[in-house]
Amino acid sequence: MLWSAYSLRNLWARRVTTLLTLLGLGLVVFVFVAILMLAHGLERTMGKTGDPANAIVMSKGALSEIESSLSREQTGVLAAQPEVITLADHQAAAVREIALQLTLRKQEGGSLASLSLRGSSPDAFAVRPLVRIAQGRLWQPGTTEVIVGTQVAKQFPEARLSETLRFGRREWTVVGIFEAEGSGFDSEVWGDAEQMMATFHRTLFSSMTVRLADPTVLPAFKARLERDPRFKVSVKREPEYYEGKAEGLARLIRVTGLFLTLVFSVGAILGATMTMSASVAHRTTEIGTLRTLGFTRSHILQAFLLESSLLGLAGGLLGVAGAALLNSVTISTVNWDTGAELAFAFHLTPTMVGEGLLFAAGMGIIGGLVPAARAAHIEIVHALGQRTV
Amino acid sequence: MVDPVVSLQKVTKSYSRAGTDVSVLRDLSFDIPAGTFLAIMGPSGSGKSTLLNVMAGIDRPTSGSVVVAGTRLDGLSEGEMARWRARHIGYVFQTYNLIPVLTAAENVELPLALTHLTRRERSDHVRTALRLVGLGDRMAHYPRQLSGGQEQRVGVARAIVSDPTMILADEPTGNLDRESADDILTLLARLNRELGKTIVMVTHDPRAAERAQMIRYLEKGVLEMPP
Repeated sequence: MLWSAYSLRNLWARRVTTLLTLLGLGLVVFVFVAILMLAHGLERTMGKTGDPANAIVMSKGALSEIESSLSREQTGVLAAQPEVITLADHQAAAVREIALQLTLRKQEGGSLASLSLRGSSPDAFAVRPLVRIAQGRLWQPGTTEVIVGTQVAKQFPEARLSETLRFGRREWTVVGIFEAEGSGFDSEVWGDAEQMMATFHRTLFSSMTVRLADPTVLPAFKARLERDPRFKVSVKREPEYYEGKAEGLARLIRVTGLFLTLVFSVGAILGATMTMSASVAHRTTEIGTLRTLGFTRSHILQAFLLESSLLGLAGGLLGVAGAALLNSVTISTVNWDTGAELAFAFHLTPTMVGEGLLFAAGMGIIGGLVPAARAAHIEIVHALGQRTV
Repeated sequence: MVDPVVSLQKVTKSYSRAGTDVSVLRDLSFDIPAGTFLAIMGPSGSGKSTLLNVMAGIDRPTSGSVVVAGTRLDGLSEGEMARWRARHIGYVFQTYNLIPVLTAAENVELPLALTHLTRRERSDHVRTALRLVGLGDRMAHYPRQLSGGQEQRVGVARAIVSDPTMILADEPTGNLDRESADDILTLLARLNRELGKTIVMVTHDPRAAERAQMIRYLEKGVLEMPP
């Protein structure tokens, strides 16, 4: 208690240098936590995409829906599997879809960006109950009407309600905006699969998503379909498939970001070292006094390390507080795994707060190590300034 | 015959300065009986503070034996010496050496942080020590809020709070006005007389030395009887 008060008050006593050091440490922790938040936000968005009760079926060897192709016959047999739930209208809860890409301009005169274009059917809403129409209405089957995710409507002026999109040499009217609880679907454009296949001269679907009566049967369902030579398909749980689509970008963000953090942290550690060195130089007599009273070298080392770790922790709190301001801020970027624009939000978790503070305390301790060791090794008579006899 | 609390045998201390050995203490041998209030006088550079530091275990002699409170100091490691100091030595500095960021009570509590006393017991000891030096009403004051005399009284309270075997005072009145100096000397004399504390005080002020029971002169590293 006495030591904590001693350390804290010494930091306060040199508040100008303490504050400058805190800013340096805080900035590094801010970058560190913001990167974790960004990568986690991306994974979270993609992880929320899809429903755990759903299985996505693609052709064998396809890494994404764009590379996959399923025939009408295949999708008909797949929908008739006993594990697939039956809807009130006695139809199987299965939706066959075609995955395409669409290029739109972000702002007036702004850059072009690719978007995921999904040819689907109204059954998609039965298979994915979390997706709902927020404004307008669903497209009419057999028409060139589309609906867009909330993030698309927000970022692309030409994709707002009642606007007309031009692709595939046809005009498509935006008749609705759907909301998918912050998942990756919010960054997609959906329309009638048959119309899109006709427009883009396709005869094959990309994938089929089925809702299972019992989510726990997925491993057996997957094993049976993947073993069956008639299908030549691969089956994944829907959220796992979309989560996998974020891996590359999330890894890139983490590696690049953590490398930058590491470089910045060298500067922050040096700042902490200089602050603590000045503190030791200023308190030489104090160190001699404590040693005279019976405190050991180890006590002095611990006192200065406690002080530098408190300095780090305070910087950490500052950085985490700054990063917390980013929480829920949405940004949009190209997902390297799909090539399409994806909007996702920074997301702070208690674990990140802990990691940020631990990182900050670590920087403080490393920065304080040399000055603390020097303080602990000063000879008492030198510290008291008495070597002059 | 009272047992000596300090016993020095053939103690020498020399420093190397610019390649030349400078002798500070020369073949010093003497005993200090328990309960004595001893003043050591001498001109600047005579080795008074070095002698005090050797007795306090914060400096080691070049040769000879130093036995204080029944412990031979030259055999102790750094850590053992620190623990020994905490148990046996109360040190009063010329410049008070209070920790500026701690209150009077916290400064006095510092030596007790090295004991196994409970928080409550520590608090009681601190209150008693500060009352003894007449600063019971200044416990929450920081050093900058105290006069020089009051700061030194806090320094004395810090030196006695752990009930050490011996109090060593290095020019305790050197930075004080006459009145405050008298107060401190009266306090030291009281601690010696009423609590039986062994006190060794280094001073170059004859008026301060007069308050001690015994005076010794240190001249060029050799201890002499008063003229």
